[in-house]
Amino acid sequence: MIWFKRMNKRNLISTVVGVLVLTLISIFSTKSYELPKILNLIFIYSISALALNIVCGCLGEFVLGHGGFILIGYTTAVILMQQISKLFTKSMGKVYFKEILVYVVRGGELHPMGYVFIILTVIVAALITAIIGFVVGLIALGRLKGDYLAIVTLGISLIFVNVCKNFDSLGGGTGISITTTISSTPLLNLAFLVAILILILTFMGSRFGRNILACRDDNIAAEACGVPVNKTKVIAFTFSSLLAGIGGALLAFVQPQAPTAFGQDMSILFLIIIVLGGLGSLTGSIIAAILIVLYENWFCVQSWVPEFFANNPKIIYGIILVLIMLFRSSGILGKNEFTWNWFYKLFKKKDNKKETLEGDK
Amino acid sequence: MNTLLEGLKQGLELGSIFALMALGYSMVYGIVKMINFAHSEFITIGGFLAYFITESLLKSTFGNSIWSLLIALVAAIIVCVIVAIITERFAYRPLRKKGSSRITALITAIGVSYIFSGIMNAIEPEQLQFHKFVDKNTSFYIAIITTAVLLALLTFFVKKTKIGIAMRAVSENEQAAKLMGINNNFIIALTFMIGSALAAIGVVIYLLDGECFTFEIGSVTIGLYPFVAAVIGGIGSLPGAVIGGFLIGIIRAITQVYSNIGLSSWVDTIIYGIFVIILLFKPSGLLGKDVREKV
Amino acid sequence: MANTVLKANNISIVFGGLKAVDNFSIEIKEGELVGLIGPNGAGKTTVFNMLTGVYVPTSGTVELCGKDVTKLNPHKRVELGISRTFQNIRLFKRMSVLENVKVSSNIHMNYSVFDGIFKTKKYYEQEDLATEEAMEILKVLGLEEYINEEAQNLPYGKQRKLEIARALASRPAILCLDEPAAGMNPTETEELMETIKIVREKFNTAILLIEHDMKLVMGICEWIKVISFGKEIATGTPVEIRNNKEVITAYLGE
Repeated sequence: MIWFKRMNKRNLISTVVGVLVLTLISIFSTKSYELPKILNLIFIYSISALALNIVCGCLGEFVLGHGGFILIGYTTAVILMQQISKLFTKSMGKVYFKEILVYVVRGGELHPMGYVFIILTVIVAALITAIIGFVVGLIALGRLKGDYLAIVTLGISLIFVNVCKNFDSLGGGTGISITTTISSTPLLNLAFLVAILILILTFMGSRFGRNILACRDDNIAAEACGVPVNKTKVIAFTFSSLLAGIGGALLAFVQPQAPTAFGQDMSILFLIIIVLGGLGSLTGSIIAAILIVLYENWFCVQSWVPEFFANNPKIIYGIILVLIMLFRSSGILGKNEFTWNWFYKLFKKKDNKKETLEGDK
Repeated sequence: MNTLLEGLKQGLELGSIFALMALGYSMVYGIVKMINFAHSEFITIGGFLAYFITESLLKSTFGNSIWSLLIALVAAIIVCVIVAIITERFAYRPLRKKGSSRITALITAIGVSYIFSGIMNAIEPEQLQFHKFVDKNTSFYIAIITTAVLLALLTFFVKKTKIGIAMRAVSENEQAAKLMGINNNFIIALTFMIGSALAAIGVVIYLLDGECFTFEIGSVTIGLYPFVAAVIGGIGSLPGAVIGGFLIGIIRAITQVYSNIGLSSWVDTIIYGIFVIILLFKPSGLLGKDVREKV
Repeated sequence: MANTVLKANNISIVFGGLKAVDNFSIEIKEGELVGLIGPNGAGKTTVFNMLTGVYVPTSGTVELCGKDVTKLNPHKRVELGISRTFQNIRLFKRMSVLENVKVSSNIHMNYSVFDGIFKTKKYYEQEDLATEEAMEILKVLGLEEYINEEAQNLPYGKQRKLEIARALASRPAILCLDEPAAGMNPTETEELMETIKIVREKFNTAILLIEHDMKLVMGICEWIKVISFGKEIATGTPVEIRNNKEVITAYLGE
C-alpha cells in the first residue's frame, strides 16, 4: 500500500467525499424521471470523452473516428445480450429470459445478478473493441500521421457504421433496444467512471504514460530516447478503444441508438467535449461532458427557453463553440486539472500562497 | 452492359460535381491546413439560395428561361462568397492571428457549420424540389464541361498568375510569404472565396435536373464525399481533387445502378474501404507530395 | 586495448540523385572523445542520423558494441548503448525537467502494464531508481533546482544541458552531441566544455561531437574527423587537423 502513503491526504479525502455525494445522488435519483437519464448520459459521455482524450490529449494524435469504436462496444453488448437471451430460452425450455430478469430486475431496482450480467457484458465488449482498436492502430498508426490519420479513422468508423446498419438483427437503421429487458442504473455508470478515472491516472503515471506524453511532444526525440514510438502509439490507441468500448457498452444499457448516430456526429461530439474541457485535462473532459449533456437534455427542454432556440439547438451550440474557441482556445480548464485547492481557499484566505504551493506538489 | 454504361455516365456527372466541391476543400486545406467543415454548409447555402431565387424568377418575366438559372447561379455564387468572407474574417482569421492550434481551428469550423446548419433548418425544414431546367442528358454535359473548364482555369490561375503564385507561396510557408510582402490575409480570404464559389456552382449543377433536396444536402446527402475525394487525390493538388471526385462519383453511381443485388446499401463500406486502402499505400493521396520531417 | 563501441564501415546514403554521404568510416573506442567537423552542408548531421538510426544507409554497415545495427530502429539502438542530442533542441516541451530525463530510463524498466496500473512493489522500485539516477545526472549538470519546471520554460543554455542530461539517462556507451554549443556565447561555451569533460569522467562514456566552434572542438577532442561534401578529407589529432592543407582549403576555399 505504498501508493496510499504517498497520496496527498487532503485531496484524497475531498475526492472520496465528492464521490460519496455523487453516489448518494445517483442512488436517490431513481425516484425522479428525468434525472437518472441525465446522470447516465453524463457518466457515459465522460467515460467516452476520457477515452478520446487519451489519444488526442495525451498522445497528441488526432482521431475523428471515435464514434466507430463506441459503436463496436455498443453493438457487442447488444449482440451478447441477444445471444444470452436466446441461450436462456433454449436451455431452460419454458423459463424465458425475460422471466428470469423479472427476478433480476425487481421493482425498478437492479438485482445484484443484473449488475453481474451488465458488468460481464461490458468487459467482453470492451475487450473486443480493444482488439479491433489494436488492429486498426497497428495498420494505421505506423503509416499515417496528422490529419490523414484523423481522416482515415473517420473512414474506418463510417465503415463500421455502414456494416452495422446493414444487419437487421442490430435493428437496421433505427437501432435495437435492450433496455426493455435490462437497463443499468446511474450508480453502476458512476462506479465505472470512477474506476476508469483511477485506471487512467495510474496508467498515465507509469512509464507507459510517460512514453505517451513524450510521443505527444516530439516523436523523433522520443524515439532517440529509447521510446518505441509505434508501439507506444498502438498501446495508447488500444487503451483508448478499450475505454470507448466500455462507454459504448454502457450506453447500450441506457438507451437505444441508431448505428448512424455513431458516425460523424458522435465522433465530433466527443472531440468537442475534450477540446472544450481542455486537451489532455481529464477533469476538464468530465466538466465539458456535464455541460454538453445538460445543454442537450436539460436546457433545451426548459419552458423558459425561446421556442426558436429550443427547436434549433445547433445555432446556440455553434455560437458558443465559436466564442469559446475564439476567446478561450485552450478550453475551460486548459492543460490543468481540477483540484480542490479553490475549495480550501474559500476557508483559509490568509495562507493562500502556501496552500497553492503545497497543492501543486 | 447498358446498366454499367448508364452507371458510368451518372458517375461522371456526379464525379464532376464532387470534383468541384473537392477543389474547394483541397484549396482551403492546402493553404490554411484546416479541414473546413463549414464547406458543406456553403454547399447548402448555395442550393437554398438558387432554389429561392429561381422560384421567384419563375413567376416573373424570365420564366422558365435559361436566364432565371443564370441569375440564380450568379446570386448563389455571390452570397456564398460573402458568407465565406464573413466566416473567414470573423471566425478563422482571429484564430490565425493568435496562432491557435489546428484542432481549435477545426472545432471552430464545426461550430460555424452548426450555426449555418441550424439557421438553414429554421428557414426550411421540409424537402424542396428544384425546378427542372434541363433533362438528365444535358446536365451530364454541363457538369463535365464546367468541371473541365474550371479545372483548366484554376490550374492556369494557380500556376501562371501573380496571385496564384502568391497563393502557392502562402501554402508553402505562410510566415516567409508574409515577409516577402504578400498580403496573406487577402490570399487566404481569396482561397475561401474561390472554394465557396465552386461549391455554389457544384450544387447548382447537382440540382439542375430537378433534384429534390433538404437543408441537409451539404452535410448529409453530399456529406463527406467531396472531402474524401480531395484526400484521395492528394490534398492541395487540383487535378488530384478532380480524379478523386470522379473515382467516388463513379463508385457511388455504379453501386446505385446495381441496387438490385444490394450494392447500394454497402456504398459507404466500398467508398471508405477504397479510401482507407489508398491512403495506407499512398499516405498523402494519389497525387499528393510526401513531406519528410527533418532532423 | 579498449573495446570498440561504435564502428561505421563505408556508409553511404543517397537522397534523390544526391550522394549526401560517401563511404564514411569511423571507429570509436571506449571513453574516447571524438570530434566530427566540416563546413555547412558537409553531411555531419546525416552521418549522425545514420549512426543513430534515423536514416538507413544505402550501403555500408554500422556496428554498436560489436553488434550489427545497420537496420535497427533508433529506439533499439538506444538499448544497445547509443544516445544523442539534437542540433535544434528537441525537448519534451510540456513535460517537467525530471520527467524529460526519466523518459530515457524507460529502457531500463521492465515492469508491465499491470504493475503500472496496480502500483506494485516492482513499479516503485524501478521508478524510484530512475528518479534517483535522474536526480544525480541533473545535479552533475546543475539543473537540480529546475526539476519541476516545464522544459519549455528553461533558458536556452539550460535546455541544451537538459538534452545532454536526457541522453545520459539511458546510460549510453557512446553519447552523440549534435552542435551542443550552437547559439551559445563564449562564456556559455566555456562552461559547456567543462560540462562535457565532467560528463565523460563521471558517466564513463565515449563522446562523438559535431561542432562548429573550433575552440571547443580543438580544446577537448582527442582526435577529429573532417568531412566535406559527404567525403572524409582528414583524420587526426587537433594539432594535425589545424595544419592540414585540405582542411584549410575546405573551410576557406582555394
